[in-house]
Amino acid sequence: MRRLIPLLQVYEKELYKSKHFDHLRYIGDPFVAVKIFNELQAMEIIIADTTPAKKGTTLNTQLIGQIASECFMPVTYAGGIKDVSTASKILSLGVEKLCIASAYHQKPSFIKELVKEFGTSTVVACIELKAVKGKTCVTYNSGTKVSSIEPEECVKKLQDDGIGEILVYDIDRDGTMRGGNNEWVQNMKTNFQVPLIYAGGIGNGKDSLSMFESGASAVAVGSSFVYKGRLNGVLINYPDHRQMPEWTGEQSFLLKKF
Amino acid sequence: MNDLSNRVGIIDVGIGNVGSVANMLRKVGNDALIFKDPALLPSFKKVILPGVGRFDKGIQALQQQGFIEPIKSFTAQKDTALLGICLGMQLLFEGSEEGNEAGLGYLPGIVERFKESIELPVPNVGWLPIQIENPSPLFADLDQAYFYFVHAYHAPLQLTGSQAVLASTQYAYLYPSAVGKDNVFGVQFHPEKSLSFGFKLLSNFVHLQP
Repeated sequence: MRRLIPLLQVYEKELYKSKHFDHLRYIGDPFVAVKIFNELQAMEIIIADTTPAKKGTTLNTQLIGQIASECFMPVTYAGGIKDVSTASKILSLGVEKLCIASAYHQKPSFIKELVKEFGTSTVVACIELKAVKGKTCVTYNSGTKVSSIEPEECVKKLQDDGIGEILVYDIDRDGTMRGGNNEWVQNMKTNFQVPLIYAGGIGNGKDSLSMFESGASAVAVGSSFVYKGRLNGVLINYPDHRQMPEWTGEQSFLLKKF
Repeated sequence: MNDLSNRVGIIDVGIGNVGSVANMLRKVGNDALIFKDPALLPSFKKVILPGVGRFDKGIQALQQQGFIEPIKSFTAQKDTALLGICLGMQLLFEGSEEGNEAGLGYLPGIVERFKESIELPVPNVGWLPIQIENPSPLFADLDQAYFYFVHAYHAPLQLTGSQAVLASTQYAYLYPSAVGKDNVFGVQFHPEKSLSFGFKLLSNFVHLQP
């Protein structure tokens, strides 16, 4: 089953879309967006609150709970998770999986701690990739800090620590809708024993399909599911069962309506 | 006190995603109530036990909140029904390879981890189809259904072929993904996160006549 996942960015309680993890553009109300994705039968959703990384604030558990409990599809939450007790709180609020992008860089034992507490199936790590002086680097804190760890090493460490899935996010492609990083996924695929979710640059069904063909288990899509048309007008959208094969190469299983 | 007999009760001992279960039940048309006090249990006819995470932590949470005996008294009433979701289903068994605690013991056997030898990733994360093994009103109109799974452990394979297996799922091998005995039901998947299929299953649970 190939998974096609809307990736929603929340900033200060509103829905935004970034470009290169910056240049936030206002989209609308996250609750409305989620309800539309319910009706469009989006098979899964990732909600990333970038407020903690950008402003250094603690995460807003109340908001996360309110959004997640409106989701009738599985939710992965990312943003500002730094300790086990906060993680536990979030999982009690209607979130299926936690995504850690920064804290495991600052606290190398963190993934192990989460896996020990919640089991491997609920913990996702995000590897934020960005080219620095022509070299693909692992970054964190919304791409503002560069880690010294090599991407291969990072994948290995996360898997050794028991991670359930790895989200690979190409910051240089974020918000560009110019296609995903097929080359990186193809080269790295053999290092992955856990599902690889790819995000960054998906502009259409063809881009998405090629990521699956390169070896991704799932593709996360931001801009293309909140913008429509040549001028990028805001319109929440998601392929229906007729369009799904263009995006995943598979027939949709979601035929029935509520 | 409000009459709770027509409302579905959702046990909240801090181990599961109670909010989305309640919201989907509201969409189904049932004014579900999330509750933490085991004293309320006898007032309900339908109760859901959701849960995610580790087996021992789940059982210990039920023990600490004083739910073990009240759950047993609740299911001893024949006009009630209990539905365990995910870890909530696993807790219905005698135990788990994931921990040392005894489970609720409604169903025989020890919950097992996916075998190391399988070629597919563990945990099993994603949408998968079910196949009906024994007809049950809980699965009315759901013979072509897909559900959302996130798990590394599954119901004991020794149960395969028995009446207790309502549905099974193929992930490297076939394992029981929905179980039931009398008025106690369990599903490994998350109906509250399975869009229209989950909506139908919860609707079936609300309309179940034990």
